[in-house]
Amino acid sequence: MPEIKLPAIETEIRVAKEMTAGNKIIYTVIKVSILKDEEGYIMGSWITPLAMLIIEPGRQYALSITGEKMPLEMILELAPSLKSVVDKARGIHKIKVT
Amino acid sequence: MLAWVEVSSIILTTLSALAALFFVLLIIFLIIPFHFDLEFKKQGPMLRGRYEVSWLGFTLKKDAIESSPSEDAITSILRETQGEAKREQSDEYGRKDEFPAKTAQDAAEPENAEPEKIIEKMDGQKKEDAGQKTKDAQEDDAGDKTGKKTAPALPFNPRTLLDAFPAMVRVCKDLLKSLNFQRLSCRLCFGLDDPVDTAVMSGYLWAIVSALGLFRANIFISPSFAGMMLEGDFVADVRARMLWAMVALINALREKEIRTLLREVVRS
Repeated sequence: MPEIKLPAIETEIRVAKEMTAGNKIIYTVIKVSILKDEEGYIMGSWITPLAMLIIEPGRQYALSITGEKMPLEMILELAPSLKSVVDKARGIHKIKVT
Repeated sequence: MLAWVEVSSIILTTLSALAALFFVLLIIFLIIPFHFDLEFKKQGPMLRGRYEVSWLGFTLKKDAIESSPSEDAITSILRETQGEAKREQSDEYGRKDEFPAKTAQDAAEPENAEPEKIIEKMDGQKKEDAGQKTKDAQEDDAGDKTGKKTAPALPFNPRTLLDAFPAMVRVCKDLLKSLNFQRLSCRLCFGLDDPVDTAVMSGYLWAIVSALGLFRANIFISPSFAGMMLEGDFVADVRARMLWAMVALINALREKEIRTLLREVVRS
């Protein structure tokens, strides 16, 4: 009897392209789930929003998708690449020393 | 007098014979299918392909397409130059406003190249460590990100297109009747600069595949959420009977909405 294998699910966190609303820039952190068969072909995929980083002039904060406030550190932990966005918003300029 | 009658009857006979011959040829042209053999492959910057059109066993057109590496190098240099110019512009803009606006290109660079995190990789019910990146993410190059594009002006009224849409679907269905896929294989791996857009586009593509009734064919569509990319191969062996294509075109021209749309396109 052939062995029946269940499909594999790969999940990763990504940041969607920023949206601008007035003077706010919103970065959405999303969870991408990919369903693959045993040969590695993608059978389906779905995305789930998790949290948002909101950049306003002089203020940066994060919200979970349920609308609750979440610490900035938590969203940076989810998506480390947003650190550069926050740094830029805070006016921190990095100088490379070689 | 008799001679004129004879001459005119000969001319008439010749003309009718020519007309009959023309009709026979037309019927042969419409009934005997054309044979299209297509093969395209895109891997990285290289695009290779070939096509062949034959009819009644004779090759009418045959050609091979290959994008030269020099062309690709020029394209990539141009893209990089444009990207740098855009970045400089955005930096200047940011300095002027003293507001840390981040362009789409800047935003795309760090986020999309590699996933922030791979949470889990489940093989059935058995969870495995999530230490590895996906294959797509590894293969991807995040260098060629493009910024926002302005939508080009349409040569027709969108309302007219919407009105003509049901008629266009009917025409497409009729046109598809004229095609007989002997062999069809398509493997497409694509990614846009936004993972959300990639997911939406993937949904559209699967919907199109399903609507065309090609779901049984060897079609694989793999979205890559790691950034802009387009890779894959396409092989098709199609037989097209012109009779149904002609019927579809005539039916299309009988539709008022399509005539209006065509008129608008021609006027613009």
